[in-house]
Amino acid sequence: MSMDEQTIMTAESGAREYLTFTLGREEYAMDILKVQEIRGYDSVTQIANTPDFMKGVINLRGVIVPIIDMRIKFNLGNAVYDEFTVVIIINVLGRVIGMVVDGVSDVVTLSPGQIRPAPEFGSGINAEYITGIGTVNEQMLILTDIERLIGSADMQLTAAADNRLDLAA
Amino acid sequence: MTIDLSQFYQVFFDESSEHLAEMERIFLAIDPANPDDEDLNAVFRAAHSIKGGAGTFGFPDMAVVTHTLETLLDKVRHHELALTPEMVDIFLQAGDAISMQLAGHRDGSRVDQQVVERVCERLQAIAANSTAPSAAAPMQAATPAPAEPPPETSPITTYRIVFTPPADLYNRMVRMEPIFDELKTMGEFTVTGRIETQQEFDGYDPTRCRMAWEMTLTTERTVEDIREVFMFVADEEELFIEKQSPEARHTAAPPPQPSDSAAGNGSVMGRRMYDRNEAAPGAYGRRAGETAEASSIRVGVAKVDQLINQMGELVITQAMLAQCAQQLDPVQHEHLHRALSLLERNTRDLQESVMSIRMMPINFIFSRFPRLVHDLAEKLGKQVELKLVGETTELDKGLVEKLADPLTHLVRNSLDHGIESPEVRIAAGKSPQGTITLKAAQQGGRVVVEVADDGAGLNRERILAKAAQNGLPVSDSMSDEEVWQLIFAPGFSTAEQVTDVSGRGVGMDVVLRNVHAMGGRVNLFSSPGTGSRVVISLPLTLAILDGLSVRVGSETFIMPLNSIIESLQPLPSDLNEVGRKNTTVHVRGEYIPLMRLDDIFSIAGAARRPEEAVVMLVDAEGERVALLVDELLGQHQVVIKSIETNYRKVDGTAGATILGNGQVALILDAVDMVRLWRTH
Amino acid sequence: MEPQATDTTGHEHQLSGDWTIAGVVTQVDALSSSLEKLSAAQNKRLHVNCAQIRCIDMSGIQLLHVWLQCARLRGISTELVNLPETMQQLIQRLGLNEAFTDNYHDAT
Repeated sequence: MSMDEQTIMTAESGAREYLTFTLGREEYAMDILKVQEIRGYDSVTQIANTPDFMKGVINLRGVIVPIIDMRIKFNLGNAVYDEFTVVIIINVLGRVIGMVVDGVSDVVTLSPGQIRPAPEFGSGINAEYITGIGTVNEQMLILTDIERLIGSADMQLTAAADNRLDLAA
Repeated sequence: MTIDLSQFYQVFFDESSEHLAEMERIFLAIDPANPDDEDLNAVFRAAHSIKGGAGTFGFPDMAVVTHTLETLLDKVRHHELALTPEMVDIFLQAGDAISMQLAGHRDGSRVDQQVVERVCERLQAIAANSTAPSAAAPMQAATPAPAEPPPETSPITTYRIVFTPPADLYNRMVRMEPIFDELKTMGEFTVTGRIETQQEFDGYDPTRCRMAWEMTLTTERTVEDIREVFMFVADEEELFIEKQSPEARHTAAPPPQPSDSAAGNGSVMGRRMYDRNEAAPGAYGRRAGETAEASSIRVGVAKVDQLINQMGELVITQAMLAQCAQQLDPVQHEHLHRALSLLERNTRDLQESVMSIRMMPINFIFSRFPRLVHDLAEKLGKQVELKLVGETTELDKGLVEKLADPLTHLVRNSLDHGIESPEVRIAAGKSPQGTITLKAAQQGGRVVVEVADDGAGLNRERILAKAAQNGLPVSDSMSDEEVWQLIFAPGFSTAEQVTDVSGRGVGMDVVLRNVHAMGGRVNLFSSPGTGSRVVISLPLTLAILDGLSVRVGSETFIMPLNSIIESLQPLPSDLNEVGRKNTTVHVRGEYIPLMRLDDIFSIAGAARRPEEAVVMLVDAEGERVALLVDELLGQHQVVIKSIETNYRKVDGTAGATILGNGQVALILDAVDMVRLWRTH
Repeated sequence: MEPQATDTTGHEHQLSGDWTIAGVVTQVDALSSSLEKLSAAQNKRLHVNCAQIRCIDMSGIQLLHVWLQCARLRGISTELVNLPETMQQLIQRLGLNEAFTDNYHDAT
C-alpha cells in the first residue's frame, strides 16, 4: 500500500512499525522504535572471558557499545565478518547495544489483524522471545521481543547483581 | 511585562540553606548545660536572617515558623530561658521543618503540613512555659569574675536610619512593609517616605525606584540588628544609620533625598547603572569583610560538566593529532613536533585546572552524618560517637555525589547491626559508648574512604547459615574474607528483624554495585567482638587518567601510570618458573610474582617467553606484582569512558577508553587482575 | 484624603487595573494623555478616582505621586478620591502619608 495509506493505517488501527532482518533462513521483525541506527561491522575490541556470541565493544561516536552476534547466539547462519556484515544498534533497557545479523530488510507496518500467535515449536530464537508471527505479502515474519531477549540472564550483558531474573530471590 | 523572579529568589534560597546548615551544625555540637554565647548569637542571627528574607520575598509560611523559633532563641541568648536537650531537639526539628518549606518553594516538593504544625505547637509550648525568666544564671563553671551582662543589648538608643534604595528595587520584587513592621517590633519606630520630584512626565520610567525613606527607631538593639533587618534588601552604602542623642530625636531632620544629585531633566537615579553583582562583597547586605565569599562564584553544575566534557574531547583530539604526527619524520617536521609537544603540555595544564574545578572536599557528604548518627542512635537506644577524619580530602564532585548513598547505608549498618546496645557493650567489657569512624585519604592516585566501628564485628556463623539458607554455595572451610563476600550477594540479609533503618539486605550488593560503577572497590574487614571496617577505594577522578599503553598480542591496554613502579626487560636468569602459574621475577633481591596478561585476558599470539617481552612492576594497593606484556607503546592522557553504561565492568579492568585511533581499549586494574589471577 | 463625592465642576480621571510593578508601564500612556488634555483645558481641576484600582504596590504609589506632582506643576489641582482600603494602608505603612497631603515639599 502507499505511504499515505500506511501512515493512516498506523494511526488508526493500533498498527505498529517493525524493522525486519534476516538471521539464517528466517525473517524476523522488531519494534522500530527500539532501533537507533544500522552500521557495518568493524574495529571491535575483544573482551576476555565472555561467551562466543559476545564479540566485544565498539566506539560509537564516543560511547562504548557492546556487540552481540545473534547468528552465533542462536546458531543460525554463517558468522562471517565482511563489508556486508550488518549491525543493528538498538536502544533497550536503558542501554545501547549492537546486534550482528545477516541482513536488514524493510520497515513494515503490521496491524494486530496481521499477527498470529507463535507456534509452540520454533527454530532459531527461543519461543519465549517470540511474540507472534506476522504476515506481509505472503512473507512470514517472526516478531521478536528484543527487550526481553537482551535482558535475559544468559545474554550476560548485565552484571550478575543487575540481572532482572536473578532478583526474584 | 514579565519579570523572571527566580534569579532573585535563588540567592535567598542559597543563603537560607546555608543558615539552616549552620544552625544544625551548632545545635548538634552545643552543650545545653553550658552553651557558648557566640553559638547562641549565631543561631539567633541565622534564624533572624531567614525570617527577614522569608518576609521580604513573600514566604509567610517560613516566616511564621522562623519567627517563633527566633523569639525563643532570642530569649535563650539573653539568658532569659535555659536551654535543655529537649529544646535542642525541637530546634533541630524546627530547622528540618523550615528546610522542608524551603524545598517546597524552591523545588515544588511536597510539604507535610502536619509536621510543620507539630513543630509550631512544640515551639509555642516552650514559649508558653518561658514567661517566667529562668531562675538559674547560665551554669558556668564557678568563676570568681562577676557575671557579665548579656552581650547583645545596649542601652536604649535612638537611631536615625536612612535608606536610599537603588533604582531596581521594584524590579527585585522587594516589599518594604514587612521590613518596617519588623523594625516596629524592635522599639519605637517612625518612617517617612519621600518620592523624588519629577519635572517632566514624558519619558518617565515607572519601574525605576525614586523613593527613599527616613526612619527613627528608639531601641535597645544594636546597629547590627538593624542592618540585619535590611539584609536581603540593602547594600552597605544604601543604608545609613546614625545614633542620635535623645534630644536630637525631636528636631526635624532634613528630608532624605533620593540619591540622584542631578535632579530634573528626566534624569534617573544615577547610582546603579550597571548590573548588580550578587556575589560581590556588600551585595544584599553582606558585610564587606566577608572576603571568603568574595573569592568564589557560584557556577551551575551543568556548565562545569560541559566544560569537563569538552576538555575530554580536546584530550582525545590532541591524542589523535599526536598519533598522526608519529607517522611523520621528526626531522622534516620539527616545527610540527615541537608545536604538538607544546600543545600536549598546554592541554595537560588546562586539563588539570578544569578537573580541579570539580574537586570538592568529601566533607560535603560527611557533614550529613553527625545529624544522622545523632538521630539514629537515639532512636535505637544506643550511644554512639562519630569521628570524622580527613574530611578535607578532595575528590571529584561526581564521585562525592555517588558516594552519598553507599556511605549512608554503611553508616546505618554500623549503627544498626555493628554497634551493640550499651548493656551488651558493658557486659562485653567495652565502654557503653560505641564509636563509628569515617575516614578519607588520598593514597597513590586513589581516594580511600573507610567506615569503621568498634562494635560486634561480622558474625561468621550467622552469615554462613543465612547464605546456606538462600541457596548460596558455602562451606565451613571458607576463609573469613570469602565469608564476608557473601554479604554482597543479592537478596542477602542477616538482620533478624527487618528494621526500617537499613532495610532488607538489598543494601550491601547495591553498595558494591554503586562503588563498582564509580570504578571503585570495596573491602570488608572484621574482627569478632572488636569491630568491622569497610574500605572503599575510588579513582581520583572519573574523567581523565594518565596511562601507559601496552600491547599484548594484537590487543592494546592502558595501565594507569599511578600504579606503575617500573618496567624492565628481564634476563632469563631473573626468572624463576615453578610451573607456568608460579613464575617469579627477581628484582633487587625480591622475588615478585609474575602475572601473564595473555593468560588473564585469554589473548592468543602474545610473546611466549618472558625475556622476549616486557615486565611491568606495579603496585596493587600495597602488594607488588609483575605484569608481563609484549611491548610498551607510549604514555598518554586518556579519557575514561563508561563501559558500564551499556555493558558492564570487565574483570581485571577499571573502565575503558577510546584511543587516538578510535579503538576502544580497556584500562587495567592491578588489584582486580591479582584477584582474577589467584581465583582461576 | 477623605473620599468625597465627585465635584461636577472638575474633570474625573478613573484609575483602574494593575498598579503593581507588573502593570505600571501600561498605565503611563493614559496618565500622560490626561495631562495633555488638562493642560489645554480651561478648568484645571482633576479628581482622581482610585476605586477601580485592582492591585497596587510601591511602584504604583510612586507613579501616582509623580503624576500628581507633574499635574500640579502644570497648574492643575488634584484630588484623590475613593481610595481602596489596601491602598490607604499601603501609603500609611510606607510612611507616605505626608507625601500625599496637599503640602508638597519643594523640589531641589
